[in-house]
Amino acid sequence: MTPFLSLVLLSLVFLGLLTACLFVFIIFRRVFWEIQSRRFKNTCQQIENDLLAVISSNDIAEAERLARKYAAKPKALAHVLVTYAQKLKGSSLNQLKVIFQQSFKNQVYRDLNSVFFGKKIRAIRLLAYFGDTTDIPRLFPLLSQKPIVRLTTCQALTRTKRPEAIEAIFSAWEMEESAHVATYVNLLYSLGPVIEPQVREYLRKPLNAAKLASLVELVGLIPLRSLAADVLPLAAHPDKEVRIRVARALGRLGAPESFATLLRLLEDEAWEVQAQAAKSLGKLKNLAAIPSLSKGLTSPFFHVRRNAASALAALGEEGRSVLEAFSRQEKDRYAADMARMILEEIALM
Amino acid sequence: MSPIVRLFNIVILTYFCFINAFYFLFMLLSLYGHIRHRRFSLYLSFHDIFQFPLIKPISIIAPAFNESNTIVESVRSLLAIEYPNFEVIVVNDGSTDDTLDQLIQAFQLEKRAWVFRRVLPTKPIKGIYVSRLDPRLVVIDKENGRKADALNAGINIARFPLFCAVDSDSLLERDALLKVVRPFIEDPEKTVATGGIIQLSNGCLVKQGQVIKIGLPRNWLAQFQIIEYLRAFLGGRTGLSMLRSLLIISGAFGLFRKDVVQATGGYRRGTVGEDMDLVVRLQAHLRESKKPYRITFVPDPICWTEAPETIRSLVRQRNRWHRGLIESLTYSFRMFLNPRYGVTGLLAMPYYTIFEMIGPLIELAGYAMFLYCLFTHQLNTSFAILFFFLAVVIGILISLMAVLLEEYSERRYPHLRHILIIFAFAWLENLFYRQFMALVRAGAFFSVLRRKKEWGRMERRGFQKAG
Repeated sequence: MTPFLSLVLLSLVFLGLLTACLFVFIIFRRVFWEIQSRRFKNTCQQIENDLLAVISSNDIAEAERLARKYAAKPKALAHVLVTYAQKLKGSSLNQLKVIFQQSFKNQVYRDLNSVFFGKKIRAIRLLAYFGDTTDIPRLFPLLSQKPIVRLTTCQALTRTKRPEAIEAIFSAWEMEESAHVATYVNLLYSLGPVIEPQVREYLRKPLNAAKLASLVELVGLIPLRSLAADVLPLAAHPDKEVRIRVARALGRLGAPESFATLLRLLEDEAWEVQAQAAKSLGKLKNLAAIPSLSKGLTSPFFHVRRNAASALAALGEEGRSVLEAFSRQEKDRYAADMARMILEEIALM
Repeated sequence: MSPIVRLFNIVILTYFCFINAFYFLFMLLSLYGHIRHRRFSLYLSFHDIFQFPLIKPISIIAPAFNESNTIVESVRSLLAIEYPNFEVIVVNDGSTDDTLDQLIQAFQLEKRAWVFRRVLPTKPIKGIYVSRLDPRLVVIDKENGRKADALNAGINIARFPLFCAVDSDSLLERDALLKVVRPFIEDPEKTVATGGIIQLSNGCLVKQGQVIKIGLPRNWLAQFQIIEYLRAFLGGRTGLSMLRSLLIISGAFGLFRKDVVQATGGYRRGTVGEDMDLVVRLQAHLRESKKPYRITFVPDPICWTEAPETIRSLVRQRNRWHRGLIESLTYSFRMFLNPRYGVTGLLAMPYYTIFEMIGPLIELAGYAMFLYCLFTHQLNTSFAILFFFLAVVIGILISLMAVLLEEYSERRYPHLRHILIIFAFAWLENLFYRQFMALVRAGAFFSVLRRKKEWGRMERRGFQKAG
């Protein structure tokens, strides 16, 4: 046999053996995971049964007994506790808190400093659900760690809704680079109206345009109606993005005092601001906006025309008659087409 | 052995050394990417994504040309997707079969007067229809202008800031949009495009537009393609995405920021590889405008597509793909080894140009040289051994690694019998199929020289339905 052929055969044999080994590895891995997940499921089922008995008995001693029984199985216990914490409310949570305090509170404290993301994130979540007021400051140092830990911590802190937690989230948000600003807005939104004092305070701070814009967005989203007066001056902000958000937020707030500002924004130099202002004017339902919106319908910008037409439609009978008049005229074909489309849309609605 | 043959042998061996080094690099990066993705998935649940107020609405654009066998099922699958706010725009690109009639009947479509901004030039639109059953469904009926033109028409009509380009013959998993949108939530300022994994639906059982049972195709050609797809998506794309130099997001499933695509000029009409062409031009445009950006591959959202099961269809498809690759790379050749375009210009462009575009020619030359030396008794043993080792043994090894990555990441194939079959085809692929594909891809150069612009029709069998 030539050296070439023998080497070819040898390498194929090697590959064959490797393939067989990989296949055996996959079998073992699957069997291992299957056994592990079955065990985990069974343990969770046992814990769940005991937990239901503890919750229905409303006995602290029972909760402590359960904590001791499953202290050696922290992963399954944590899984069940978090699942139930998401479903339960009020005093039922007290039993879960007792189990947490008795079983692995110290372990969770240690895991907060773990190098493994999984452990760290689990610890943060557990502390957010079952920790007490004294535990909150333990989460603050995590706000200066990697973005993923920072976001998890903020999300955990939003559950507490405590003033010091909200302050900490805002401080983290202030330090955050612009890439994650929008994600923070999502988290802050979940806190709801309780963040009003902080939003008011930060609206007056010299923030960069991206942060200011997202804060204004937040005012409209929640909505924080009492902050309409704080948002109005920002309509003159030099950054287009901020003005767009102001126009949108004012529409969402529906504050009548914003009418004049929105009319001004409808004349803004940026078409994006004009389009947003037109949309918001429709939400205010003020018939005095009809002349300005009619002008908007003849705008050279598609989105301004579309939003102006939709806003006119939202103003009721008077607005619709303006749209019908536009649909009949032939001077501005674009305005006529847009009016026709919106009229057809509302007819089919 | 003559000096010319010797030199040629060295060139061939160097080529194989480099391409294998790249494949190994991508596999390693991909493994790291999968581990990182898994860690991040621990943090963000899809339930949370649904609750986010700032999640952007999406327009799903599905161009369709003579897809009457699968169109209704595909549109149902698209409408059943889990996402807070989306619309589905089907673009009937001048079909000559009853694609439009099927849609009109199945979804009670009504013709509407629709005013839209013609930001991107397209062939004339004959009509726009809206479904009475589900107002999220819009159907554009237009003159045939090929896929890029149809997608541009969809972008013009799209109302939302993000659009998802899908093939109308593909099926998206219910949570695919929630998964693929994640980079847009994590980094909304920078992210401009994301893509997901494409897997083959041949052999799978489909019910109400969803794959309910995963299986392997009986057809051997489709089985070869399973390995190819695993290697390309789990290995190559994830690896290149880690290097921030992804040059292709599959046309079957990609999510884009509409304003950025419009600023780049949309899909280039007349190209046959519009998906790669768009991403390459996006990379060039964003680098030139010096804006920070991210084009990311997300390794878990799944889109199921039907693979060709006849040699003729496969040859046509691969010829078209390779023509598309040649067109895209030659069009943006200014990026090649140009430091102005960062890693994309210095690594991704040379990789794609040398190994993906010219690679098949070099590979074929290598096989031809091997045979020539064998028959003229000039075969140098060390060359033969090295050639076999680099072209076949390492190839099999990389395919096996791709199967392992699949096992680690998603474990889509539940039966061990499936894994065994995939392993067998990982072997056979490197012994027959790869050489055949090199021949087909090399043939694309002649098609380009003949200025062939055909799309290449593919016979569809339709999805295997359950119940």
